[in-house]
Amino acid sequence: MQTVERITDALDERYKIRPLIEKNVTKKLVPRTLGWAACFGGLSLLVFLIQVFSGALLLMYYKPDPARAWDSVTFIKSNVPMGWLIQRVHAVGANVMIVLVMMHMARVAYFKIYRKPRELHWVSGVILLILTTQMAFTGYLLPWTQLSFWGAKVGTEIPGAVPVVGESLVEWLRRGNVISGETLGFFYAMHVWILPGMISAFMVMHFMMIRRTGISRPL
Amino acid sequence: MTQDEPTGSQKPSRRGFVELCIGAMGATSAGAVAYPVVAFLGRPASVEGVTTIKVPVAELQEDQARYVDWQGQQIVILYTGRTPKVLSASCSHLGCLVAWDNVKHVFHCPCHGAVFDDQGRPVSGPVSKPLAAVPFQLSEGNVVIG
Ligand code: FES
Repeated sequence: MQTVERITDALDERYKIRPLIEKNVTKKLVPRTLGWAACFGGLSLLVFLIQVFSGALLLMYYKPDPARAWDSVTFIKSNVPMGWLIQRVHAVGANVMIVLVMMHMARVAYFKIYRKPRELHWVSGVILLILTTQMAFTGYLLPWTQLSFWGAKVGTEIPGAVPVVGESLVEWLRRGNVISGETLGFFYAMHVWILPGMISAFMVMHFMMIRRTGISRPL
Repeated sequence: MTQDEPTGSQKPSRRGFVELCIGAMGATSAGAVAYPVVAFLGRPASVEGVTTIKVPVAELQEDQARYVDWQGQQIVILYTGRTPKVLSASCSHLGCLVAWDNVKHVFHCPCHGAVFDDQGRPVSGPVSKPLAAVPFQLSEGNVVIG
């Protein structure tokens, strides 16, 4: 405790961190009327971070190649120490994140928190919901199991219902006519880089907006 | 800490107790997360486990090299007609994987151009040592390594 204190002192002398900590953590006043339902947004962020870190670990052994993807996931589950746990956390975390995001949105909708001045909170939130489901969808193909294969097949069929461009949209998503190694590579890139990058960008916007307007107080 | 807590007092204060509890909970959670993560970064159980390799001589083609993994290293079985030869496939210079050239009948190293003959002896390039010979036996028409 003494050392912590000393380090904090030294940092405070140089960077004035005490007022920052006080303003944002120790002396931050939260409206009394905020209930436990207000925590779902923060929890979604927490699960997102868990997904980022467990995903980074899985990346060390995963091979985005149709001939080796399934083997590499099996290797993670059976040969890497604690690999089964990290893999499970990542798979379950995806579902948990969607549930939490839904609960968060349900509260915002129920208490009509989306009204002025928070319209764009809602818009960015909906974009985040879409990105989150896309993360789940692309991640589902990666273990290259029968379930993932058919899941991706059915999922990529959906945009086929769009008039005129539907067909080419499906082909674009699949990188061809069928689910193949090209699809796997595309989904992989989406899953580990493109979508997480977009999610991070929208999250930053989402949080900055909340800092400006403050959390809504229920009446 | 805070001023209202007398430092060095024998009587545990309520605040100190709560802080201790929170600290303990934090440390336990951190440990529960850190343990699997650190373990994950460790060495995976190897899938090989095989220490003996058996290759039927009949399967070997003349003047062809056959590369196999053996105890974590790459070795090459070379059959030039009479008896098979088993060599380490990593160059005696800096360890790159040497490639068999069955036209020129030499091993060629892609890294700095070392050349070895079919016995693994250095021919040219920055090397003076031969490719390490791997001990093997011929038993019942098989090359048995290890
Ligand atoms: S490593 Fe083979 S020539 Fe240098």
